[in-house]
Amino acid sequence: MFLLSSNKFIFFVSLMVFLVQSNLPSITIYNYHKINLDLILIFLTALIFFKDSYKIIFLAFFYGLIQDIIVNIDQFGILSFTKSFTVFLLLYIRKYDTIWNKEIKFLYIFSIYFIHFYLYHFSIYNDYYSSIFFISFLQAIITFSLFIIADKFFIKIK
Amino acid sequence: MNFFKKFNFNKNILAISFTSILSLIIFFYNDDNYFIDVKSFVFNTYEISSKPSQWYKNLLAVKKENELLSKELVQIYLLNSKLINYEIENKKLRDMLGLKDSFKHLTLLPANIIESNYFSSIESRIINVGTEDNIRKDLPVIDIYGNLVGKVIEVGKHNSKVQLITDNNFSVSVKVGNNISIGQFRPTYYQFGVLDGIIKTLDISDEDLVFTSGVSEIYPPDIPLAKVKTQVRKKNKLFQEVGVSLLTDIDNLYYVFVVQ
Repeated sequence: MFLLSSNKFIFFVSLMVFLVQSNLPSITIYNYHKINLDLILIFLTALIFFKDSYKIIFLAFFYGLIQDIIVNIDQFGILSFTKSFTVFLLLYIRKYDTIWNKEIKFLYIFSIYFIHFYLYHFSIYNDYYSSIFFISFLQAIITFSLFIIADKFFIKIK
Repeated sequence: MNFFKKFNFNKNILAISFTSILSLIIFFYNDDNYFIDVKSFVFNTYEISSKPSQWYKNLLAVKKENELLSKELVQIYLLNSKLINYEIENKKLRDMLGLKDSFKHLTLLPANIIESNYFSSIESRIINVGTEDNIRKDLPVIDIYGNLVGKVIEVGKHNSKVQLITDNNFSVSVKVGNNISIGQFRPTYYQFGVLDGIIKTLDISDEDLVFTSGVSEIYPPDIPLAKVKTQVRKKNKLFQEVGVSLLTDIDNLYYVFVVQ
């Protein structure tokens, strides 16, 4: 994982993550609500622990922009803002790296994931707030679980 | 030195401010020509990146769809022979009344839906036809059963974006009922929608089909889009509240036709 500090390697991995993400199946919860494994968000979170850099905000912005162009009809810019803002908030972990313990960091990441998915579902679905809340919470749990697995094998947060 | 240290400390804030401004610019200038080119490029890249999922989805869907289509085909053959008789009868009656043809023959261009789960939305779908196939903005899109799916809103070289009938901003002029009353369809939630402007006195019954009225430059007349589910007539209102359910299955769209 030390390779993640190299820019060329990050670019390559970003493309791979995008490719895998585009082809992953999703789970339909009810009606049209779908839950998917957000590898892109996990990758961006992992990057934060390897590279404390503002460049991750730009990377998140580009991922969000792609999502905006493909998904949105007339709210272009919302998802790119959401993604970059999520990474901006996640970067605060590095600021409190020595102060926060592992549990606090996990709780913080989970909260940010939840906010991210809530904003995401809020912008693309026209539904009751309660069902958006439920779907976002479920998706945050699933993504966070995947992040914990990634942490155990690759990231290893202290 | 102190200044540079401070600058370094605020890099994250500068980056988020810059990306927020960029997001705002994109939000307000998304119809700009330059941005349209970017969209076209993204559509094409997206099509290439989601090829494996298209492949496995097609593989899974083809067998099931083939069975269903064979059944449909037999039913349609039977219905078609019946309709041919009706057409002859209708022509004769029209000639007697001196009416002109209301329905033009439509040219249909088949297209595949390019969908990946991560980028799925109830607002839009990407299809694999573009300017090279003579696709242009505002062409209507129908499914394999002839039901309205939406309209083309952005066109790339090889791919286009379709605004779905379920999108909040979608609206189409429709006709419904025996008296052919004109109204406006707008989606509400998932596969449901409402018809606005249907006068209370007009007789509409459950399961009545809703068709495009043709009072539009975009949609030709007589394309079915929904079925009446509920009608509520309130004393203090001029129009009745008509609830409809969509005929097209947005969740299972694989092939569509662009009406040219």
